Amino acid sequence: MSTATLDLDFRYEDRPAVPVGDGVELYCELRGDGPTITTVNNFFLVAPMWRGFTAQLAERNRILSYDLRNQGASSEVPDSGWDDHLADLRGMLDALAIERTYLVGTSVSTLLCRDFALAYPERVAGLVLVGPAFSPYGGRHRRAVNRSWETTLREAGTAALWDHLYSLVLSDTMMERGGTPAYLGLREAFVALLSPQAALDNLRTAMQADDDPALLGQLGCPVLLLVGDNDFMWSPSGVADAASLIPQCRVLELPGIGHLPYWEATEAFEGAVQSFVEDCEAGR
Amino acid sequence: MSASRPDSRPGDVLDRIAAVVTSASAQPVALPPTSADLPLRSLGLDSSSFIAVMSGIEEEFGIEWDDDVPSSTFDSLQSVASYLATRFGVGT
Repeated sequence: MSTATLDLDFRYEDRPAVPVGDGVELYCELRGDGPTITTVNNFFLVAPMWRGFTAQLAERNRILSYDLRNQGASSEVPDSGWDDHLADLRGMLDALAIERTYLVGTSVSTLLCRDFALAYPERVAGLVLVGPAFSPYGGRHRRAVNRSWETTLREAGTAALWDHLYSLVLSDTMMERGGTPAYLGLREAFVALLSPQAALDNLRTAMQADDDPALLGQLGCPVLLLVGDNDFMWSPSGVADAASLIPQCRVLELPGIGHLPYWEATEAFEGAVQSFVEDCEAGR
Repeated sequence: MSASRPDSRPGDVLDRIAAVVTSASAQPVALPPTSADLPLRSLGLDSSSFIAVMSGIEEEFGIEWDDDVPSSTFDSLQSVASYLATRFGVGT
């Protein structure tokens, strides 16, 4: 199933930052025309990477990718909290005159997407939740993982955090296919990209997310749950239980894929998002 | 682990590593003449370029990396050269 090229583009384009309020400016990339699909980074992605994951989608949709505050080329704002990310997203959509959008979240940012859809339902046409960090049973697993990453980063540094992530988020086939050169090369890319202090701040912020499974039941928009069957956070029964909590939920499980389907199976990811958006648009 | 016959030609190891880095990059990389201590992570390489650097050094010097290579090995061209010399006898 894996079709990844191992290519992650980190190169920033010369674009004006978008002011979102309180002096905060976000780096944004906007490409294509059609229904707006906004990608919401988790704390280890940056906006330029989405160019490689959404090239096909950008031919039929408008793709908005941005860096969260304290990430990449966006403003650094010490002592930020979880709700600041929600306010930033709303401020960015307002600044760009985007009334309604699909949101694509991955890992912990699926919780940001959930909370944004609950807070501003009129702004969200649908949610694509990829390799979610939530659980239908509660938040102890997510918080334990988050805490372990924070400890690794704080005690042993960025390269050690890469070891930790590499062992969890990639599928077995991806790891075997890339071998040692990919392990070492991706590690160096990760070390070059990540600001340790910003990552620590973001991991602490992630602990503020509400893990109450009942919140999933309050979602009023269509939801696509996209999960690799080699994802360290999910099992088939867990996916089924999560889907049963979400009122308008469709599920796609990708065989042999880990926590990062948009990277490991870009074609399948883009196809699934396109079908979801088309069905939602047809049903409006 | 190490390949059976690592390259041991002396003298031009730094130049050869620099050539690997230059050719591996998806974007043009202009290494200054005195680039031995230049941090590799400051060059703006993307992930595939970093991977190509690893594979290119293997091919250029006839070695094979292992997963235990510390990240500090790739701090600079000089640190790569030092590791190749110590671990594989390259340039000695």
